[in-house]
Amino acid sequence: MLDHLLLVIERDVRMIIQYKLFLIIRWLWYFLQVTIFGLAISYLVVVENYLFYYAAGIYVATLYSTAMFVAFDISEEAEHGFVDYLLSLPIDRRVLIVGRAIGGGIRSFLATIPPLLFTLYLIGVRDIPILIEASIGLLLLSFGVAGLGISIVSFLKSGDKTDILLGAIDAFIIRLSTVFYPKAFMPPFYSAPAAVNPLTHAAELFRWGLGIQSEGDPIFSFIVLLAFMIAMTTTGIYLYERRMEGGGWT
Amino acid sequence: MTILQEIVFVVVNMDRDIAIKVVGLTKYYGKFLAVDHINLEIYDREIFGFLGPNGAGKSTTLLMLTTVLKPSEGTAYVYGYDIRKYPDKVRSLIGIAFQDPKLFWIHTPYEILIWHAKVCGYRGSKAREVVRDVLSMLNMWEARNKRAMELSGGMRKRVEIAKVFIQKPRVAIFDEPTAQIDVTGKHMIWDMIRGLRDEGSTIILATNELYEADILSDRIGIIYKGKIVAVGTPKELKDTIPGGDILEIQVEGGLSNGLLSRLEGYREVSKVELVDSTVKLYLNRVEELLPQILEDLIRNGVKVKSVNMREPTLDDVFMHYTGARLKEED
Repeated sequence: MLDHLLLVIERDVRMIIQYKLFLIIRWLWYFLQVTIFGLAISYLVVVENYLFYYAAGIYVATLYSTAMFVAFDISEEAEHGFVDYLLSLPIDRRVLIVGRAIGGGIRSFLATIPPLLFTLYLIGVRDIPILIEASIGLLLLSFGVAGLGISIVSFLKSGDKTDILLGAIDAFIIRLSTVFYPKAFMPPFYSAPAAVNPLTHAAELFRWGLGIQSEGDPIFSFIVLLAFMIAMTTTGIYLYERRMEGGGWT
Repeated sequence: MTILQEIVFVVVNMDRDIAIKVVGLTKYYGKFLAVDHINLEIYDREIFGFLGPNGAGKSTTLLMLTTVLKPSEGTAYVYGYDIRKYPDKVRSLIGIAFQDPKLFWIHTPYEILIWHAKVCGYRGSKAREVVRDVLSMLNMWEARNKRAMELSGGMRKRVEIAKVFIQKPRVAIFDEPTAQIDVTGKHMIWDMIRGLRDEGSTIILATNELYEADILSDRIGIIYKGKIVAVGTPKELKDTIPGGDILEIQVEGGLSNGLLSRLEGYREVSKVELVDSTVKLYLNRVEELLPQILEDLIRNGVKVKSVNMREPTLDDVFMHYTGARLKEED
């Protein structure tokens, strides 16, 4: 069982090599976003050291969208009928889904190492153990987001619908979080959803790890991210098992 | 389930000679009935041909057997394991080469098959060795590092079936294995399938190619509009057509009415026609009856100039059971 889990993880992690151009563009986008937009906007806002705040936040947003890429992989695999092959293999279905969530998570973490290094270079590292603890939280976010992606694509069973819904979720989940702005500056109807948003907790945990301005309790954020990962992976297993068996991909 | 419980379960449920027992297996897609309460037994170490036109329900049945699709009703037992209750166990016994190759377009045959070999339990150099052997046998070693999207249809098909030859499962399923493959390649793959059977695998061969089904299958099941309409060895199926064999005997000077009546008197003969100097008999088991008929004619002073005999094809069998021609259906 462990062998199969590692093989599924390995396969998803190796897929990273196939997306070289996508990753380079993503890194370039991150670099420009921080050095141009972040820098310019930091002169306009009252938050102290906003450039650092922004750089940490947008790294979490980048991690989120890279982790969500597993949903596009599954969507493409389904369109090529590749899902049937995976379902026919002598691998326990739960192992298959957990492996894909973990593989997708590790992959996104590896894929965002250059932006992470740039962020660390920009802000500086004050306490390595704390930074490692925060990074584990980010890894939990990656696993959870990959699980969310698997759940969505399994539920919708449609490449087009998946594209549209992920675009909509991306717009809301990033904006209704503390990725770009602190909760203190949000109206209550924004701050309430932001308080339960896993991206908020990941961003705050990362800022705490970097030793810059952060809101909330890091332990609580860690627990939220762990719960998010467990909930999304469980939902992913449930939906993948029930929805992917039976075909009907559109 | 403990190992002991599992052993007891298998012993209780497994008939020694039956590899797969299908019981009322049914699949609806919405309101469309794709597979209609199929009952079937496939014996251990046989090549079972699953013959039917496209859309008859072959692939859907196979996908249910491999636990890729969930049945709407009924079930099947693979070496005693219920596909509904023990899908993981069933998948450990079954391997399938799909009709449409399932290759992710960015991967190379070598990457695809190494990963597959590892999933099937090969490790390190053993995985590399088995992949090299199978790719070489399929004449695909040279193309091992091309991306799937750069391969021709026939090459993709070879990679797809390579998966099963690497896995060597107890039940190997080939869904139209030689579609898009050239004649030389077809013979090579047929030999490999026979070899796999000889090594101990039970083979299910889904095909709509009559010749392939005829020469390769120990038994054939004909599926039409989701139903199994006939099961038997190719010979048994052909013999079920009354007067299915045709025997043409050209004689010198024609035949007397008495001799014609004598020929009509054979139990296996359905009809006798005399056209000019050629007598045409519609019968069954021509290969057994031919010496007897010839002896009869010669004994009665008939000079035989030539003999031509034709067995019914599987297309005739298909026509007999369904009222349609397999070729027309496709």
